[in-house]
Amino acid sequence: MTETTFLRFTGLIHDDGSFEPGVGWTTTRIRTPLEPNSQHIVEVIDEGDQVLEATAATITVSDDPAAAGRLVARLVAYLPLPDSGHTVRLRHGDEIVHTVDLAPRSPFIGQPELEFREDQILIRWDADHDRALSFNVFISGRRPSTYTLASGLTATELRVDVETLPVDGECTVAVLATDGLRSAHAVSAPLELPHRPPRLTILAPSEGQEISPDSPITLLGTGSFPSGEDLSERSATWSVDEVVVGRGSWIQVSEPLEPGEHTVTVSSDSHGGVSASVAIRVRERSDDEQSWARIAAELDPDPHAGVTAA
Amino acid sequence: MFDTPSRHLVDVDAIRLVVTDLAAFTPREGRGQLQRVFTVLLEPLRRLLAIERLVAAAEDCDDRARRQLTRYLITGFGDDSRRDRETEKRSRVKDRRSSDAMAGLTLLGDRELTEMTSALASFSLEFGEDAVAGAMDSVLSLIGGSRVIEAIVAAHRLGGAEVVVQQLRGGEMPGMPGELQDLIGGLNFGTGGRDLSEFDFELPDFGIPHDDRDWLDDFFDPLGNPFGDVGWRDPDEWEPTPPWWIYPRLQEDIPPGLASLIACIMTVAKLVTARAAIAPPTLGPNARYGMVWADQITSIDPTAHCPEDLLSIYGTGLAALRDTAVLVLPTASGCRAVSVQTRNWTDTRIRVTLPTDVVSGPVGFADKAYVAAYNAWHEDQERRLEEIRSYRCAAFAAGATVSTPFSVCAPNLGRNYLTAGTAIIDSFRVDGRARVVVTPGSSVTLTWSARNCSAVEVTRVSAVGPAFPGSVTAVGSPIGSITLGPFGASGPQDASYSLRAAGPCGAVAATVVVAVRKTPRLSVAGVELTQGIQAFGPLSAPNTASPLVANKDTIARVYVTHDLDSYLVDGTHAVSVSGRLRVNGVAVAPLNVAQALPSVGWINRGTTDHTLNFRIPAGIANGTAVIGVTVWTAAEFEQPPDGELLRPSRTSTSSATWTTRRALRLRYVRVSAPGAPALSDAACRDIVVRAHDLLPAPPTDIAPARMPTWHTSYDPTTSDGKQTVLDHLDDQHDCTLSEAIFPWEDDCPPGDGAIWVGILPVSGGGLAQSHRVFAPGRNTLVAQADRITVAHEIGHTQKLNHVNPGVSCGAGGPDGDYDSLPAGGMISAADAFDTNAGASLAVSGGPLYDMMTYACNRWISRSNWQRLFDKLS
Repeated sequence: MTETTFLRFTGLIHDDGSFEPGVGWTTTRIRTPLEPNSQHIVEVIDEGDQVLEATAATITVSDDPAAAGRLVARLVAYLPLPDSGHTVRLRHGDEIVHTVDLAPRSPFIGQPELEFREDQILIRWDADHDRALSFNVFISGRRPSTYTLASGLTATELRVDVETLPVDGECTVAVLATDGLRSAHAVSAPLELPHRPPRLTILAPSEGQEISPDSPITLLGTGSFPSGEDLSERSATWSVDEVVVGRGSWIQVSEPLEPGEHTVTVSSDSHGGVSASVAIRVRERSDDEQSWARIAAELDPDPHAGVTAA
Repeated sequence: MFDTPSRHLVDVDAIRLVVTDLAAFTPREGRGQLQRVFTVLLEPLRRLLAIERLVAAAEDCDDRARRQLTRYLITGFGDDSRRDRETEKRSRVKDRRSSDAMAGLTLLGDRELTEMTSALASFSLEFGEDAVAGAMDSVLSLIGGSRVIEAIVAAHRLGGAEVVVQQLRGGEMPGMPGELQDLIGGLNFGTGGRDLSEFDFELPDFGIPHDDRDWLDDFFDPLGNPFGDVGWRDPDEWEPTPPWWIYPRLQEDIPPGLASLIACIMTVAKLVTARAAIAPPTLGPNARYGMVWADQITSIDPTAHCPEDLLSIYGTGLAALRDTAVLVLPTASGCRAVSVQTRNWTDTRIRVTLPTDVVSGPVGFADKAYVAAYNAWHEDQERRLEEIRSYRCAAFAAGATVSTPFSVCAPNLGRNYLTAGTAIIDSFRVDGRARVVVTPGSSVTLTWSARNCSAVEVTRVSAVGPAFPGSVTAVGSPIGSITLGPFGASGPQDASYSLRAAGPCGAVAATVVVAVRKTPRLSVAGVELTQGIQAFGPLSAPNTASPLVANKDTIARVYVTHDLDSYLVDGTHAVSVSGRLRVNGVAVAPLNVAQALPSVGWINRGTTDHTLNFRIPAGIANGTAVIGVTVWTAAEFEQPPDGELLRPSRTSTSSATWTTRRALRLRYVRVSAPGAPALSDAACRDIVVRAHDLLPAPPTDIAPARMPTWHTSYDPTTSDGKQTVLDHLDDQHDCTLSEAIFPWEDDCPPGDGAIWVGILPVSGGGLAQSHRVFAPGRNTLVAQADRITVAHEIGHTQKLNHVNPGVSCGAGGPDGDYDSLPAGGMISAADAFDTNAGASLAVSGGPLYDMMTYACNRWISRSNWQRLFDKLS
């Protein structure tokens, strides 16, 4: 059984009726069938002006004021693309709104080459077409999930930081080349990315935060894997100046820290051990604050001390 | 309850606390024995109190007390037959190093003990040195005996009745003689822990008359009535034999230095008595003219008035006096003998230079031999006094009076009266002080005493303060008084008054000050707890307005008022205050110094410093907590009459409840664009955290998205560019574009249940999916790096629509559908508080509107706070 190739035709219709073409491509699979709802018809016609395929478009209207007061609608249509297709035409009733010729053939794109350099991956590919191309780059990990690394590229290479990738371990990179209508894609050979540990984030206190003396502080953090899954909060251990003060996603250090520089660290033993630190500074007491502390000791003695775990 | 002669020599309250606790531990059948034990243990203290009372009464010439004290001094307070000779030796060592003598004595008052000992020593000197030594040994023995009850009280302070029982059972009390251990061994403490009020017991009968008084009163009667109710204390029944408190082991527990101190006191008392026994000389039989006279003087030079002036004294037969008399001139400290050169002392004239302290008075002669003898006696008294003062315990040397050199004046015969010297102001006081502090509306009395003048002038020298009738100056006699008042009530005033006295040779002046002061009494009128927006209505019911969210920084705004009314401190109605907050015992320092105002009506919630503000950290902002606040004035206030400084304070307690609300799961993406690098991870994180300053959710679930950075080639300052970035991010988030390009794209990225927040590197507002028809997912937004914009877009993801108040900050208004909020979304600025900045959000540039508007000044309104609070349940 031969797969049908569909053309994804898209663009914006402005309130003056003009059409602004978007970036479409060809695909053999339509994930979410559209529900045509307009009198805008997209047609594929051959060189003899015979209509080969036609479909009503789906239009969604936006009244986004940020569009400088214009009424804007997005138009999307999927329709089969026969080999003999020569032109794509958008018609509103009898009015031809937009016409564009298809390229005679699909673009050429070679298999992307991946080069692992220090903390970056250099992705390069060859492409050829008789029209201008733009490229979308995708990455897929072991699990069947695909993430876009870049879109609308005109260059034929892309550098990405490994640290920012949502996958690790074995992955493949795919590049889609499109002239706005016809497209082609290529998939790289598998690449083994280093396994990355979960990432810990300290939400409070913030890096470099200056803390008033005599103030109890809350330590708050989160942890997640590169895929976005959460790290168990039980694995988080908090320390201040290398002295463990508690475990959990947050703890309350009720005894004020001494004036001076301090390092707050959250660490986890899971996946080989990870940690995150922030440097904070407890301000020296001003003369007024020293006076306050003395008076407080006289009038309201017995300050609470200790650490409360979450 | 107690009728003790001194409530300070023995800390009765501490002992009562121990007995009360132990009684609760003791079953009914064991209480008689407990009573007996404590009566025995308290006997040394009872005797010390007896001595104190007798000594005090003896000093007041109470003959009965003197007889009793005499009898005890002769027979000893303890048991002479068992006196510890080593202690006696130690007591006679002269030791001037008596510091820390009282170390370790917690039940006996330092000052009272030393004063009592000093008085006892003075009294006992009448009976010789042995009596002094005996008295001292008795006191030391009793102090040593008190060490057992000291140890019991110390154990009780350490661990309560349980520790006392444990130590008594184990015989662990320091200095416990064997006899006492036997006695205590019979104690029955039962299982303990019961309340004394449970028991309906009768007074145990140990041959003691029963009466209806409280059992504990009876128990302490030996303390309260040392020599009353003697039948109550049957020695055969109640005292171990012999008195146990003089055992050497107990005496070894006497604090170091105490024996030395008491020995010092004894020695000083002896020196004082010896000095007092030396009487001044008497006039010899050869004194021809008596002690002082002026018969030979016929006149004096009336022109000599001032120091260094040459005074001529005229008379007859003056030469005959030259060898047997001395010339005495009036001075400020009495009439003093002055030396005269022989050539200036002729038969008819004596010429002498007036001394610096000369005053008006009679000029005359004194017997030369007597003056010499008297001054020699005076010098001896001075030397002895100096020796007494060299002892460190000299402060307890009562009765060591100061002597003066010869100062008797000749009789005033008129012709020998010298008018000279400056006036002398012996005293000028206001209510007995040089400076007095009074409250507004008070009156004061000026009193003065001047000499060597005929009149004085009293002048108000300050601009404030009551004057005299018709004038700021009044004239009075050298000794007099005047009442002034009332003093003003509008604020602190220092009114100064001077006294001027003019004498024959010049005037002198003195000044007193009346400081008018009023001390504020503080009140905590209420505590407002806010996490960004709050109403504060009835002061008795804080937290009834906008609900509080658990695990989120909270600001406590404490409303402090004072009672000064129209009295202005530093020219304003405000009194600077500080304080400390406690949340379930955790202390929190204030963010500011606040202004206490005369009433709640004066407090403007839009002014940050009209309330004393504390930041309760998220970690203790949960559940229901006791909120205790102590406030105090930043300044101290002088108190009448002597200006003692006092810092008024007030403590108030309330409670607060934080409600758990789910955290918004937010994952941020650092967006870069051509020419605009992405913000740092820390900066993006901080913006998302800070957006929670406007949201009723704890900022506890924030992390980088699984796609932590995103580069777009579109221009995010444009509407389309922003929309495209939003679409792309959402495509990364949950593939809403949904075109299946590749065969493996059957699965979208796994749902992370999060809202993705794309932080744009440029200005241009934000965009969320909530009302964007292209993207109905409502879980992705992009926003400029601004907490309010991020909060606004997060609001959209929570299905909050725009609010259209008819105002906007720049071109265009918000798009609909609109939510309708009270007052068109306008916020009372007084309700808005930036918990991060610790400051009110009252905006001077214009009104404040809800964050879902497009107004320039935005914050979350109470309405949307409540709506989001409900949505996040």
